[in-house]
Parts: sequence; C-alpha cells; structure tokens
Amino acid sequence: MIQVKHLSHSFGRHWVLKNISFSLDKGDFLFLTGPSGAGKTTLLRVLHGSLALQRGRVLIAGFDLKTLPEKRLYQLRRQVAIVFQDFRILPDKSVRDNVALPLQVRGMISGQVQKRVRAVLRGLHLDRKAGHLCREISGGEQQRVAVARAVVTNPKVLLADEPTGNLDKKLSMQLMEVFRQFHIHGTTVVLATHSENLINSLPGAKILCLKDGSATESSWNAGEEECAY
Amino acid sequence: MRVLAGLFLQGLTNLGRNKWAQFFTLSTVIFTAFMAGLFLLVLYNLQLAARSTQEGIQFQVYWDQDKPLEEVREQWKEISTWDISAITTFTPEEALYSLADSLSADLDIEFLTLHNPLPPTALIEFSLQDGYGEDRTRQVRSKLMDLPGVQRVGFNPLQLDLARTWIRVSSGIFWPLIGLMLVITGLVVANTLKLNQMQRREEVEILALVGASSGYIQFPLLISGAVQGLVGGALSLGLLRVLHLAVEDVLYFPPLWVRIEFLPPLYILAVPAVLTLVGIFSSFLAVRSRLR
Ligand SMILES: Nc1ncnc2c1ncn2[C@@H]1O[C@H](COP(=O)(O)OP(=O)(O)O)[C@@H](O)[C@H]1O
Ligand SMILES: [Mg+2]
Repeated sequence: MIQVKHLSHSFGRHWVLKNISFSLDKGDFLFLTGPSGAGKTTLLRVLHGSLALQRGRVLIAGFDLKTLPEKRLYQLRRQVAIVFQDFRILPDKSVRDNVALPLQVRGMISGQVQKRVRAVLRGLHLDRKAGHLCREISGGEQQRVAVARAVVTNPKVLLADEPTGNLDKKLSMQLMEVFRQFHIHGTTVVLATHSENLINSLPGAKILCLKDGSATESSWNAGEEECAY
Repeated sequence: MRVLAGLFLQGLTNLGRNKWAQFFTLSTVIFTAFMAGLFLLVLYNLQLAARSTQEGIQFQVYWDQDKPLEEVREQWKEISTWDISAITTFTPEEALYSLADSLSADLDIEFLTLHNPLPPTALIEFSLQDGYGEDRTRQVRSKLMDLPGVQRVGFNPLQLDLARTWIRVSSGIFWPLIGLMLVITGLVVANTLKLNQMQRREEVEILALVGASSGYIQFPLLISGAVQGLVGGALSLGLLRVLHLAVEDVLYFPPLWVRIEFLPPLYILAVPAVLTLVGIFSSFLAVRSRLR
C-alpha cells in the first residue's frame, strides 16, 4: 500500500529527511515517532502530496508520486486522508459541515452525506456538537472533528499527525480505538505520536523512529531507549 | 450537471458571505471602471469633435451690440448666399434664451431681456475642399471682417492647426491610450478581486486537502469573479450615464453647440465584458498556487 524508497527532503540546505525507506501493506499500522523537529510532519506531508517529492520514490495507494501530475493530486487525496497537527478545519463552519466536506467534493448526494456524517460523529462522540461552529468548540473537540473528516470517506490510507496531542488520556484511548477499528477493517494507518501509552496500546503495530533525519524501523521494545524521546 | 449547478449557486452565495469586503471590492471595481469609462468618454468625444472639425470650419461672428438688428439681418441674408454649408443666427434675445436654457439656472430673464448684454451672433460653417483649405479660410474670414458692424470673428488659425494636429496624433494615439487604460484598469480590478478571493485561501487549501478537484474549487470562484466584474462594470456604466445626463448639454449653447455624446453601444458592451473576463482571470490567478 505504501512503499518509500530512499526518500530525502530538504528545506533550503537543511536536509530534514535523509534516505528514508520503509514499506507497509494493506491494513498495516505504523507509529511514526521521534523527537520534535525530527521530520514526522514533513514525511506525512510528502506522503499526502502537499510537499512535492524531491528525491527517492514513493508509491502510495497505487499512485507513484514521482509521476503523478499536480492536477491529478486530488485522486490521491480521495484515497489518502490526513489529520493535521493544526487540524485545518474551517472555524466558521459547523462541525457537521466540516465533516461533510470530503463527501461533498466527491459529489455525493446530500441525503447520503448526512447519513455518513451522523454515523461518524456518533463514533467520535461529537454528535451533540454537530450544529456548533468549529471555533466555538474546545481544542480536543476540534481535533476529533479533524479525525472525523479524515475517516468519513473510508480512506485506503489514513495519515495522522499527533492526533491525540490535545486530548486527555481517556479521550486519547477512545480516539486510538477509532484508528484501531479502521486498521482492523483494512485501512493502512500511519500515526505520528510522542505518546508511549498510545504505542503500547497496539502491540502489533510497526514503529518507525525518525532521528536527525534518518529512520530506524523497529518493533517496540520498552527497554530500548533509542526510540524514546 | 447537478454538481455544476450547485457550484454555480455556491459561487453566488459566497458573494453574500463577507459583506463589507464585498462592498469595498465592488466599490473599487466600480470606481476604477468609472474612471476608465470617463476617460473613454472624453477620448471618444474629442475624436468626434476632431472628425467634425476635419470636415468643416466654423466661424463665430459677433456684431456690435448697438448695430441695428435690421441691418444685421440684411447681412445674414447676404452671407447665406456665399458658398457656405450652413449659417445659424442668433438675435441677442435668441442667444439669451438658449443660454438660459442650457444653464437652466434661475436666470433673471425678464431683467436680462431689458438689459441684454449679448450681441447678435452667427455661426457659419463651410467645408474645406481639398487643396485650398488655408486660403479659403483666410478669404472667408476677411470677407466677414469687412462687413460693416462686425466686431469680431471668432476663429483662430491656431485652432485649425490644433485640430489638424489632433487628428493626425489622435488616430495614432487613440488606440494605444485605450489599450493603456485597459491595462491599468485590468491590473487594478484584477488585483482587487484577487485580494478579495485570497480571503478564501484557507478554504481553498482545505478543499484541496480533502480531495476536491481544481475544477470543483475554481468554478465557484470564477463565477464570483465574473459576477463582481459584470456587476461592477454595469454599475460604473450606470454612474457614467448619470454623469453624462448631467453634463451633456453644458457646452450646448451658442456659439459652441457641442453636445457631449455618450459611448456608442460597442463600448457600452465592452466595459462589462472586459471586466467580467478580468474577474474570471484574476480569480483563476488567486488560487492557482494554492491547490497543492
Ligand atoms: N516549511 C518549512 N520550511 C523550512 N523548514 C521547515 C518547514 N517545515 C519544517 N521545517 C523544518 O524541518 C524540520 C522538521 O520539521 P517537522 O517535520 O515539522 O518535525 P516534527 O513534525 O517531527 O516535529 C524542523 O527543523 C523544521 O524547522
Ligand atoms: Mg510535527
């Protein structure tokens, strides 16, 4: 589902990602960890096509990022959904409207859109906030709106950038359960996080640790301090 | 089709969203288009004036105020037998009334008729046949001057020269000027509309992130831009017409008789058409770089 080979990325002369390679199958779950500034966000943005591929190859959900023209990027994004660290939801729209957006841009008729949105909001315990404007809800709620918007289309690949950053432990675990459900049903998930608890909650997951731009793929080993941050 | 109609509607409803920004944008568009239209109007009328001067020469003849009107009438009769194309005459009273007409102010006509300050005047036009234009102009002028009681013949060879030069220059400069004006108007309007659309850049970026095609994102923006251009252009023309109605007759009195013409239909259509295109184009530019 995802194949990354010799991926490097720089901002100016500063190489943030150096020669990263890994591959994930359908339904795999990958935790992306590493200290702040290690390049987790950058990697996710490259996978999502919002940063142009500079070096290396990336195959994701059947698209080759090297050859994918910009005007077909939207096709990639219909298979690969992302939850941004800063949410990127529309503050002046209601929770319901924000979550409906990905379905609307696919041309789904409004009755079906509402049905899907309602189901997803219920799953994320947001149903009572459906009519609220996003700027009037809490940070944790906004974060869940961002997650709801990403999963509402049932994507093949789900990328999430520290999606539990603003949540308390209980909500984090609830959200983790949502990701786990998608994972079980065959969605490939890449989740960037600092949270040891989160990583421990899913023992079968792969772990990729970014440090100084280089990556080491490992299975989680609590004793190994290499990948602790 | 359903999606397209939806996007079309969305383009229109987007206009109602940020009313103040919309208001300022539209005002700028209207003002710019209005100035451009005014410029066009002035150019167009100069062009008309130049063309009419090209075809004929006008003399404004003023008689002494105390010259008996009967004798002046005799002379008018005589002049009309000359080889001229038209003569329009005004007794002091006629001149006064048409002046009052064009000014439409509260002129104390009753008082003025008793103490009319205006002399008898005539407006004489003749056409310039090729070859001996200058000579004939001088001839007619001296003939007029020789009439007893004629005080002044309003004609200035310099004016003729100016008119000629204007024709020569204007045909070369008319279109470049219009082109320059179009470019400036286009830039100002495009930039204004573009800034207006930039407010929605966040939304555009998010739409792109969740998988909207560029057509889906751009179509409503293009519709908003087109509507802003069209409405701005139409309103500016409306304003220009109001101004024109107010001033079209200000020069329409003896001996000038210049009626300011409004823009011809082609120009009237061109103003909103150009602005609509500018609106579409600038909306296109506003989000082009935001789609990744
Ligand atoms: N748009 C950008 N321009 C320049 N430098 C950037 C940009 N985005 C990120 N960086 C730099 O790249 C490095 C990695 O950032 P990031 O991927 O956000 O790390 P992480 O998400 O792991 O905290 C940081 O040093 C950051 O300063
Ligand atoms: Mg980050």
